[in-house]
Amino acid sequence: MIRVENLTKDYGSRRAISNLNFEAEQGEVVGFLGPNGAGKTTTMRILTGYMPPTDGTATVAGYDVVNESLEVRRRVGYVPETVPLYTDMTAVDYLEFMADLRHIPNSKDRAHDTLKMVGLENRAESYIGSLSKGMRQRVGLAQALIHQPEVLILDEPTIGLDPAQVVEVRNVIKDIGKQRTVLLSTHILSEAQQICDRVLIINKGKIVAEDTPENLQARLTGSERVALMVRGEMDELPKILSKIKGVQHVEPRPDGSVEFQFAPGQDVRPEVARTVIKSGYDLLEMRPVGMSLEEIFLELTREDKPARRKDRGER
Amino acid sequence: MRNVWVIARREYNQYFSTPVSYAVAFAMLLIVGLIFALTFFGAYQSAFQGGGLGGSSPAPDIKGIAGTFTFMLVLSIPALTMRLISDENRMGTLELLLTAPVQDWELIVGKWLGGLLFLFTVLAVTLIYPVILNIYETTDPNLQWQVLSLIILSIALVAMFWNLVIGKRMEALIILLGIWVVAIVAGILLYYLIIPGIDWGLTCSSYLGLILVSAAFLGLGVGISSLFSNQVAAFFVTLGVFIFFWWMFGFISQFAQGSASDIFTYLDMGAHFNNNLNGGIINLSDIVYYLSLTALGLFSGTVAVESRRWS
Repeated sequence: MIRVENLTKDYGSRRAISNLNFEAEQGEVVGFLGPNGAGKTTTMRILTGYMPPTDGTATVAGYDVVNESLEVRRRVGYVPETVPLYTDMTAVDYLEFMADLRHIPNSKDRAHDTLKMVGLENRAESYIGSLSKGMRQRVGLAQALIHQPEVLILDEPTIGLDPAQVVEVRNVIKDIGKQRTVLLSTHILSEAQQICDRVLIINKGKIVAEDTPENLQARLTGSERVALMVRGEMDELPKILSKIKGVQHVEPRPDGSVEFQFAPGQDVRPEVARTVIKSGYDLLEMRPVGMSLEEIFLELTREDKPARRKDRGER
Repeated sequence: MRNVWVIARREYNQYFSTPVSYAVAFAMLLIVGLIFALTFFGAYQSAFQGGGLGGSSPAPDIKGIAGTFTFMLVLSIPALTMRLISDENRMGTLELLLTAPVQDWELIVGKWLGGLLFLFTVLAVTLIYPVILNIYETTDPNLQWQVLSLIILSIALVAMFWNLVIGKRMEALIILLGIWVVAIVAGILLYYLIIPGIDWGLTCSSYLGLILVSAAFLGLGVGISSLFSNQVAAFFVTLGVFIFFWWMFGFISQFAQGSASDIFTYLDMGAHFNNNLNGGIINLSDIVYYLSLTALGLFSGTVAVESRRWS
């Protein structure tokens, strides 16, 4: 549904994105991850026909975003990052207006239906200016959904929402993603982990990684990590652990536990448990520590890449 | 084309939810009303002293009101057009409109049409003045019939404003268009049936002039608004351009020589209205002049919006 080839955009002499290549298929939720200024919004604006690329091509639903911009815009729902809305219109009037622009018959009914979908049916007659940030966000989402688009492009859709609303909006997105294509940008990595089928990590206008959240995690974590929480004299513990065969990189964690690694396939955990108890400690907890998407993200987007150990020590 | 209407309708509604447009309408109608009352009073006083109506004093007509109205247009249209595109730009809603399936020219023309409909509404209120003039001007026994027309017009105006205030804007717009049609038909009928009254041909010509001037000013205003993301900047640039077109070109033409003088005379927006349309002369060249100014404004607005899509 979305096909991007060698997409490049320059703002004057500054290159915002360079040679971007990716695809997104129907029924897929693709997450666009990256630090501020990485080129996420620029890419989305090109895909929605707001601005043309300097070089390269992008097609949405089979239409070129530059030459068949109008066809693309008919098939795309878009929520910009700032969620621009007419604050002096009521929610339902605003949605009716957007529906009319898209030539939807019975636009008033559709506006009400869409408001119901985002859970705002009881605020339909409220002026948008009087709605909270989270509600406005949902009005923006309703605007993007009103024509049941084939492709939904959302720039930071859950920013500024309270936790309950975040869950609601994520569920709405997940639902839509079952039949349609959703491209969303975020810098909340757990969000990408929860709702995206695939994640593109972008930094300085380049895609640095592209995979499912699980695969990314597996690919970047070369070894298994375990956190160990015990009661007793902590100072000696790292030394004791280091002596066990197969245990690597022992180091204390800020929460008072100790972390170590072992190579996949050589499970040292039973041995560690026995040793800890034999040494007179009370074993309280032993749990695997996956490398979180945050860490993957930092790992991939860091400019100079120092040794992994140093990075973990900073944490 | 349908999008033009959708955007125009929203823009028309928008005017009734912003205080600026109420202030503009209030100021325009207050000044025009005051000028009407004063000239009317003056005309009748001198007519009384001169030995009755229809004597040596000239018959009161709509020219003074129309002239005052154009003066108010120069000052107030910048306030009406300043936010049209610039505010969308500032609030970011332009991004929504430009990523919706709307062509750039549809956006610009829709905004312009919305402004024009608002000015039609204000202009409709002033239709009451020619009717009042006609009643006092006529010596015909059909006076009751005319008072009746005044009452009907007043009721229609009140109904229109009531609908506007309570938010039934489409109904208000339909009543407004009804008022215009009835006024034109009634004007023609009055002119041929009840003589002497005021010159309804002259009145129609003046109103045509007002509509053309409004259209041209709004077109230029929309074009200028699309260049800015700041309302105040848009306001002052628009005001400056209007002052140039309405007064300065005529002023320059007096000092220019030969063909340069002709060019400036033709560019003088005020001359086309004051010398011709507001005197009952409908020339194709005047109409073409105003329509081409409108087109110029709308075209530059479209190009300004389109330029965002250039790489």
